Amino acid sequence: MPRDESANSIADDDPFSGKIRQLAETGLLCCLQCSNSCGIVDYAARICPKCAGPLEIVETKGAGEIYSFVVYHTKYAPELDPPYTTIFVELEEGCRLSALLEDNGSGPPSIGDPVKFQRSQNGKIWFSLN
Amino acid sequence: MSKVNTVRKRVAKAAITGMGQSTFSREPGSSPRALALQACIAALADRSATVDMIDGLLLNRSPIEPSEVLPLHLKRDLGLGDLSLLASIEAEGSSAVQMIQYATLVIEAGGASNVLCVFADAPVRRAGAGKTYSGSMDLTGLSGWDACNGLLGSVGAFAMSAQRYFHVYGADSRDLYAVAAAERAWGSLNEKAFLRDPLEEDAYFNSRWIVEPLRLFDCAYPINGAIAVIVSSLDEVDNCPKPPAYLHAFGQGHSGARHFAGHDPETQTGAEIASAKLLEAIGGTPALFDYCELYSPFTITSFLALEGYGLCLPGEAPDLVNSGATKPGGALPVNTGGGHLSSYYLQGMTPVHEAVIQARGEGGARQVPKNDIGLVTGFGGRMEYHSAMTISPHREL
Repeated sequence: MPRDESANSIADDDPFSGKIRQLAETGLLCCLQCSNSCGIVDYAARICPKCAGPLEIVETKGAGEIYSFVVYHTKYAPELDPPYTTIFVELEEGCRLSALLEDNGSGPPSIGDPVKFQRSQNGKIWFSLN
Repeated sequence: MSKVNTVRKRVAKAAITGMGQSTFSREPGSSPRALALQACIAALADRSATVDMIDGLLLNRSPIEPSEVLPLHLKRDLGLGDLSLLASIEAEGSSAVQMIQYATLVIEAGGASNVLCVFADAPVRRAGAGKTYSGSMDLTGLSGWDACNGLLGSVGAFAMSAQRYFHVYGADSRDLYAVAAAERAWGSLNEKAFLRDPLEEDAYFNSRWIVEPLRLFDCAYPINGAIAVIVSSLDEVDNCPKPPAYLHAFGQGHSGARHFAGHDPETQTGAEIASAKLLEAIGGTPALFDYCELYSPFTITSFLALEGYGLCLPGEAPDLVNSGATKPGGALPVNTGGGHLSSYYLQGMTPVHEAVIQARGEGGARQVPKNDIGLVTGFGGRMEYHSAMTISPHREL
């Protein structure tokens, strides 16, 4: 069952989380790649799973598709009023991340729908359907 | 389900010789430490044991609680003497079966004879139990990221799994209802289950969305309580007042699948690894299991567990449940006390507790017709961490 992590906290010993969020706020959605050219890795990795080498932050195209999604009907997040749609996006680069889906009034999305990174504000990451 | 007898003669490694529970309650107020004490005293009474027989103590608290809610000082609360085994096991929902596994390993190695294993939790507080489970499960892997994007609570994380499962296998909410109804049918037969009224389709579909596609009745029923078992060496089982529940095999599995293209950790879980380890240890196939006590706090997790442990093929769990196989009278009884959904949610001890009842033949109206080998599972995280064991009334299989 879940770990109890306080919302919005960034661990001091995490070299990537804060930086990636800062860059997102400037309009650059980034991910992690191996410094030894093994390629892009998942966001949870802190060393390259192939060569154990260091990782570096690299810009993504900000495009991907919906891997899964849910609609919150219960108040969980202090800054978000239900209903809201949280998606798990698989970026073209291969890594997956959670994000909020902008409401375009057309109802719930489908898995596989193409989505694009729009903006980030106060840590929230907004994607929209293409 | 046809049975293939591929079991070689195998002697049990240890046995559960005593079991006790605290009061179970939906009222706030009790502490895990006080509940654990109650359960341990009850387990000792069940075994007709005195505290001086106990030479090992293993503790398990909820992973979202700090260590002080169930400290090693429980040893002093119980008035235990010198011990040769003492630890707190922390592997989220896989901990209960892991406690029993570690107790068994130490017993086999000659390090202890009677090990008390206890889980205690008090998630029901004034703000409601839902609030207790509203933390982030950190699926993305960037600190604070999921919380900012509203992906909070175990319900949301498992709703992601359910949506993905629907997409991959073409299942839908009617299939989830079948799980909830089957477990409720078992709960109806269990006087200790908290939810006992039959779950009609209307009631399920009219229950409120928590995180779509999961409704209220897709979710576990948390309570405040504790359960303790005594794991004993085979030399210690002769004078037990209750029939020993024998333990022959264990398997853990902790998935390395990542949130990256080509991996599907939503539908492929650590259960597959734990299952392979368990079956290797017992030398058989999943057809060995007469019944299953699965750690399944959501309807969707029953599908994932049935498939991960090889009780059916990937994508076939909805058909299996819809066929009636898992409900009372079915060919593969599953979660025979009502499971996490209808009886009570005490994490890994809910399935262990029910399995001991079934192995002892004390199930009453819900006793399974054949209890030669039961499968007991536990998982933590979003099904990354798994542990499983067999349970049997027979010393030799």
